[in-house]
Order: sequence, then structure tokens, then C-alpha cells
Amino acid sequence: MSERPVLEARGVDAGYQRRRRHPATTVLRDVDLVARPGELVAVVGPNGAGKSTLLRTLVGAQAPLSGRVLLDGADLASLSPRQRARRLAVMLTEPVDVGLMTVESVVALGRLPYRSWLGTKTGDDQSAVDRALADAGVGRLRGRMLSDLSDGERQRVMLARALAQEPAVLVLDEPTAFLDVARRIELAAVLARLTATTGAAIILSTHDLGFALRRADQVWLVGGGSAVTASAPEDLAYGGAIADCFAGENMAFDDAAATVVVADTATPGATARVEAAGRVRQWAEHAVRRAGWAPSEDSATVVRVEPGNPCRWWVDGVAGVGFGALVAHLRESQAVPSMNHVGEL
Amino acid sequence: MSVSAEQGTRRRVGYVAGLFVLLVVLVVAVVVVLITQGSVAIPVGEVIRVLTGQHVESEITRTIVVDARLPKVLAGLLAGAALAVSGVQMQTLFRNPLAEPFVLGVSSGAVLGAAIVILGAGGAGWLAGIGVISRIGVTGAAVAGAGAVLLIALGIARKVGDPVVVLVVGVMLDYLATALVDLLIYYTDPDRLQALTTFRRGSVRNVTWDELEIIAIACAVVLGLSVYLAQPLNALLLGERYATSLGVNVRRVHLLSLTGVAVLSGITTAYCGAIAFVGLAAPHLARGLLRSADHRLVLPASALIGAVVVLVAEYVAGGNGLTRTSLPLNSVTAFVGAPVILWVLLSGRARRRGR
Repeated sequence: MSERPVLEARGVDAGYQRRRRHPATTVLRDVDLVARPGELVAVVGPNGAGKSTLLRTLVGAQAPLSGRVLLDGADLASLSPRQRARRLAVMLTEPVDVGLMTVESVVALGRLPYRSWLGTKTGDDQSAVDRALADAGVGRLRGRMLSDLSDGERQRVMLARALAQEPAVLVLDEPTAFLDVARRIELAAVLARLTATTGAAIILSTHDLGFALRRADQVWLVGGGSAVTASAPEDLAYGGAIADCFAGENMAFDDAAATVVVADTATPGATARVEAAGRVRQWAEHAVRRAGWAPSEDSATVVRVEPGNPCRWWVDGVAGVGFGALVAHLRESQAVPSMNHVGEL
Repeated sequence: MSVSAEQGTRRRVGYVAGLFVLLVVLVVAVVVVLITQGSVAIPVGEVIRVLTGQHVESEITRTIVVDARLPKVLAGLLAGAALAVSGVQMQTLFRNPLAEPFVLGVSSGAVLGAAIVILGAGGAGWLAGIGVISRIGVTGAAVAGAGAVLLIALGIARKVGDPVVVLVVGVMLDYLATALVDLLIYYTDPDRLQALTTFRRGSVRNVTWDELEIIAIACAVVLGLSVYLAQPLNALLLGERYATSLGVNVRRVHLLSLTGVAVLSGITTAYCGAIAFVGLAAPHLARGLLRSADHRLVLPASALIGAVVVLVAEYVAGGNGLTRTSLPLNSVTAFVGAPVILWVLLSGRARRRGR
């Protein structure tokens, strides 16, 4: 952790000015952040807390209201747009429709900050484009038209385009927003590999807490008043900062799942002892909770579940097959008509 | 790079080069036809002798070539190129595949500007006395009118975003400008109206060498500028935020490009009238043929295609008395332009482009 920071926020107040000569609205106050080479930083926070404002300020799309943002130790405001573009690349959420352009020529746009106004291509450009295509895993798509690709592929191409800028800092705005679970995991793996191969600091905003906590070296938690808390993901989760920030009524931070879940609304007195082992036990407890009961070791009611697909279960002499039937049985035998079931998120 | 990828690249370069050669050949062919053919046919050899200043048998030949046909052909060539280049830039700036000087009312804005100067200028003898200078005044007014409509249209386009709505707004701006011109005409002395009629229908037939000089200089400057703009415009294809992140000064590119478009469409309108749809059709044809949206290729290809379209339209419309008709250029270019608009609308590209 002794490496020199590539991106630094020092005493930054961030916000926006809706109209000229109107007082600015400060969204974030006195922010101090440091990103080092090779770090994966996740920016998390509830909607409207100021994630976008923070990112826009860090990439220089809007000036900080006070304080300084340093890129390689130089004030972002003092760099020319081209100088900045050689050190800092972004990937936005907004979809792009460039019309007829091949993947390779879209990625080659990332070389713009290095080119003369005539746009003559140099050997460096070609090798940087080749490397970016390979790093983002889209080398085989190079000759395809961008408009023919799937959303996931298109996003990887935009990642390659950002990499072609050979940035020291790569900022991604909600890269997981439109991706399914498999594509998310793929992207996470690609990003983690990139921090190692390119040595760039990658800063991304995300709504996916599990992703942020499992993969990030550092989490910047935006929310809870106009503050930004920077820390290791475990510190934020264990210390309860994430729970405070996200959990509203009827919500709790689930440590095992590393995400915020709907709080259990167990009916008082409805407890059951689960007799099972391993994964069966985990899912049996899940079913018990879903039925509105609380698993408890010293309960008189015993729920015994044996593995199998579907599983077999016994509750107070009643036997059945499958978790669905178990939940139905538990709800019925509890017989509390007024109980509100809050479904799992 | 793998062997097959390298082969693909080489084949692609060959295709693009071949396409440009073909377009240049087409332009030259149309130019030759329009100079040599007509009510009086002149052999190519004679034309070359006239142009190189050698002795020609009859002075009439020289007059026909130098004073009648050549200015017209050059004006058509430049107007076509200018409109096409304007169209490409507007389509990228507006993020709208239907943007074009004529469709968005920019040409009508130019006519309005010119009409205000022509009809509103005090003193009757303005045209007879100081032809070129007053022409420049009219040209300036046309450019200003074009620029004003461009600014309004872009302002609305940035707010609305939906290309089809922007198209309707353009049509409204067009009506408004035309209505203002009608109003001016209604309250003006009929003697001055003659000067305005050429403005209102596209025609390259009355262009003189003096005028051509102005068109040529302006076109050369602005077409040169668009070479410089090609790369930033490519970045703008990704959207303004991406372009900014690539170190492009978006405001400056907008300003330069809009000024260029205003000058090109203002000047072509001032001298050749409002020629419709070339600025729309040529860029789409260029992109389709090139299979690319790269402005470094699309800008020059569109310029060549625009020139060909205007010259062919001039041939069909009955320039030189080649066909038995005498139509305004617009009636011919509409046959190229209207199908392109329909194709763009129906293929759904207009919708998808919306932000």
C-alpha cells in the first residue's frame, strides 16, 4: 500500500449548480479519497446519495465546489483535455449507437488523445488497440459491426475502447447495470484481471453489493449525510456502516449473502428446530423463515429434512415431499390469518 | 494480428480505394457529359483546346464552354459536395440520421436572410450597380439566416432528443421561414421580386464566374476545415460525454462545425437556390457503400456522391437542353431524397438514435 496514489480527492466538496448565479447545491462534503495503481474500487450507496456526482467530479466532468482532485499528483483542472484523456478513461452506462462501425474502429477511437489532427495511425496505436481487444476478451469480434453485438458484448467493446486509451485510472459507471448474473461474474473476472495486467486503478459504481464486497480492494460508501466513507469491504460490512446506509425498515444486512435482505417477520412464538445437515439445513432454514417461522435450537417443534431431490420432510408426525409443500404446511399449521408475508427480494 | 485478419484488412483497403476511384471516375464522366453534350455538341478535343487556351475554330464554342457550361457544372459540383458535407456533419451533430440543411429548414433560413436584404435594401439600383458587393451582402445574410435556423434547431434537438420530433420541428421552422418570406414579398414592390425567384427554386444555371469565385473559396476553406473535424466528429458518434472523455473540446467542435455548415448551406442557397435532399441522401449512400461511419472516409465520399447526384439531377432536369424538360433541380433530387427518408424512417434507425 506504499505505492503513489494515481487518483486523489483532497477536501473535495462536490455538487452542482443548476443555474448561473444561483447558490450551488452541495451533495458531498469534505471528501478525501485515495486510489492506488492496481486497486479495484467499488463506489456503492443508495440511489440519489451522490454516486454519480462523485464520479463526475473525479473524472473532471464537473469541477469540485472546493478542494482538489489530483491525477498523478497534478490538479485535474490544470491538465488539458488531451493530457487528461491519456491518463483517465471512462465507460458510461448510456448505450451507444454509432451506426456502421466495426468493433476495431470503435476501439481505435480510444487512441484519439494520442493522434495528430490528421489522425495518422502509428504502430503504437495498432499494438495498443490489439492489446485492448485481447485484454477485454473481444479479439475475435474485431471485424464485426458494433450494432450486431449483444448488450454484454457491446459493453466489453466499450471497455476495450477505454483500455485503448492506456489509462492509469479507469472509471466505470454502473458496468453491471444491464447484465445478467453470468455476464456480471464474467465482467468481475475481467476487471480483476485487468487491475493486475494493466496496473490501472479501476473505480466503478455499482448497485450490486455482493459484487462490491467480494471483489473490491476498497469500497467507497456514499451516503449517510453528505459523507463518503472509504475502507476495506470487510470493515464496512462488519462495522455496520453498510447496514446503516442501506437498511431501511424491514431490511437487514445478511452477512452470509453479503447483501441487504428483507428482514424476517417471524410471528412471535412460531419457532422450529431444524434437523438436517449441510446445504439441506441451509435451505430448510430458508424455507422455515419464508413460512414466517424462526429457526431456533430449543424449540419444541422439530422440522426434519432428508436430502433428495425433491427432499423429504417430517413435522410433528406429518410427512411431505419438497420445500414448497413444507412452507405451505408450516404456514397452515401456524394458522395466523393476519400475518403479512414479505417476499424475499 | 492473425493472417486472416490481415487479409481482411487488405481486402477492405482495396475495396475502399476502388470505391473512391469509381466515384472520381463518375464525377469526371458526368462533368464531361455536361460540358460536351447539349443542344450544341462539342467534341472533347475542342473542349480541351478551349480550356488550355489553344486556338479554337469558332468563338461560339469558346463562349458555350467557358461562359455557359463550365460555370454551371462547377457550381453544381461544389454545391453538391457542400450540401453533402453539411448533411454528414449535421447528422452527427444532431445525432439524427434525418438531419440535413433542406429538411431542417436551414435552406429556408438562408432564403429568408437573403430575402430581407434583397427586398428590404433601400434604393432600387442595387443589383445593376455594384453586383458583386451586393451579392456578398446577400450571401452574408443567407449565411446568417442559415446559422440562425441551425442554432434554433440544434437547441431544440438537444432538448427533445427524439429524431422524428426534431424532423417535425425542422419542417415547422421551414414553414415559418417560408411564411416570413411570403409576407415580405406581399409588401414589396413587384420589380424587386425578380431577383428573389432564383432563390426559391434550386438552379445552377445562372451562376457567373464572379459568383463561382466566392463559392469556390468558401467551399475550399470549409471543406478543408471538415478534414480537421473528421476525427472529433468520429468521437462524437459515441456521444458528447464520451467525446469529452477522449479529450475532444465538444463546444469548439460544435461551433466550428455549425459555422461550416451555415457557410456551406448559406452560400449554396444564395447562388444555386435551395437544393433539396442531397445533403440527406449522399451521406447515407456513402455510409452504405463504405459500410462505415468513419468521417475520414464518409466526408470525402459524400462530397463526391453529392456532386454526382446534383450533376445527374441537372442533366435529368434538362440542363443544356439535353432532355425536353426544364425542371427545377428539386423536382429531380426529391426522387433520390424522399426514398432515403422513407427508408431511414421505416428501418427504425431514426428511433434507435434517440437519447
